[in-house]
Amino acid sequence: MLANLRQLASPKNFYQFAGTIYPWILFLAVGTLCFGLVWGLLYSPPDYQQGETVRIMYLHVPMAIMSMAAYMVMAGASAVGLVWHLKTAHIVARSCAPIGAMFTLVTLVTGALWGKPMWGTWWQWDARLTSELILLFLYLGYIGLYQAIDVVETAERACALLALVGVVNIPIIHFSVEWWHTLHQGPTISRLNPTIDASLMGPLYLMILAHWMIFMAYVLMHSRTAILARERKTQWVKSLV
Amino acid sequence: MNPKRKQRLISVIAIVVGVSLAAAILLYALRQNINLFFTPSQIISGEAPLGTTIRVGGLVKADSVIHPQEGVAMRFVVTDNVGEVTVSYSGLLPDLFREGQGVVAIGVLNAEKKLIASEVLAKHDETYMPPEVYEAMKASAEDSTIKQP
Amino acid sequence: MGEITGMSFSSWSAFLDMGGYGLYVWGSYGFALASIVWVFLAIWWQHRRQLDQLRTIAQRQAELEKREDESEA
Repeated sequence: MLANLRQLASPKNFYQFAGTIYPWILFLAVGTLCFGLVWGLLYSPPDYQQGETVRIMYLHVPMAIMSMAAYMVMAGASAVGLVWHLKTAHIVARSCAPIGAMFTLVTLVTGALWGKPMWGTWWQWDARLTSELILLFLYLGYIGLYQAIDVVETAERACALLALVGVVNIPIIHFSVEWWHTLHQGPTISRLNPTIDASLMGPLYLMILAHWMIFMAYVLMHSRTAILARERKTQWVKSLV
Repeated sequence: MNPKRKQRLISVIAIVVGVSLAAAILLYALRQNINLFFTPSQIISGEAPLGTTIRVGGLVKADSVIHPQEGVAMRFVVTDNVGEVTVSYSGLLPDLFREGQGVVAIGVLNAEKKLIASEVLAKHDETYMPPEVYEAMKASAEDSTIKQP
Repeated sequence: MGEITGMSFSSWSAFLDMGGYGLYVWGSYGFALASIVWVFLAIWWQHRRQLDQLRTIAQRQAELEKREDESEA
């Protein structure tokens, strides 16, 4: 049973599996993104306090959710890679890093562009903003560490450890607004009764879905490239090209 | 599960638990430095230093904003429903600054524990709704208060 | 999920103006979409480059083997 699973998760099988499904996920991602953009920008109302700037939420919140979700996937895959010595898991973990870094950077930039008109500042060293910046450094550190080590197996193991150590930052980001006094407001949708009207929640949830699709499609695409590089000396890659 | 994998799984869990404990201790020790601002009640109890730049956060008290004639600093009261701190400020206010809403004022406490602010930021809450919904909610809230004996 | 309300803007200029916050709203959308597209292209190009590289190596190896065969003959 476990041997069968290992066979299914071999780089060769994963390469083919990813190649089959990523175009479909990409197609769904573009569809939901276009729908979400039109809904959020044109057919949703302004906020009673924040006016039209609330439309930045449709990007900022999904990007922030994915910046943390991508890290959780990266850390989870790293743990599987370490415990079961599964090559594919290490490759998926590595593919999460650049995409997660993109989500984090966009979260910070859209947050600054939202903070300036509403709060009156681009940046404050409050716990939420600072811990999200640390997340960006974790991603960049992961990428840098991987490139700094020449032996692939060593690089994978070192990066997996870094991913596991950094996972402590995720609950800190999430709960920072409850544990400390911050300029950033508390949670809106991750509570029992979301304090957001249905007319703004619709486009928000659609955009969160779109960002999940983008993440999955990009990780599958990036993993395929990483598998080719990792397995370039094997017979199946040689017969592929 | 074979013993080697079990061993590695235990190591992985140990790393995550260990780092979490270390982080928890560190954050607990630094908790006062991580807070972005002091609350008005903390300032009244003397937790905030005088004479250096600090931040005060709370709600702008209703009917407390005073705009004197030009050239004189405006004043308002920040409250956390326990304590109150008076803030004086001359400068641009963020668009979201209004009575009853959250605010973070950056400045220096003088001897009377009044904050001479150099910057005022707005802190909004986590509620989002269209203006019509807000008006409807306000109207129904007023209705129900009238009906009450 | 929320019902779709009517169009929120009465004109194109109001849409671009975003209640006076156009720079911030469009800046956010511009940066986010540019990042999404840029990362897609980067991943795409990297895959193409990887395939090209592997093909070049395979070709070179084939040529080497061919030359060795000829010299043996």
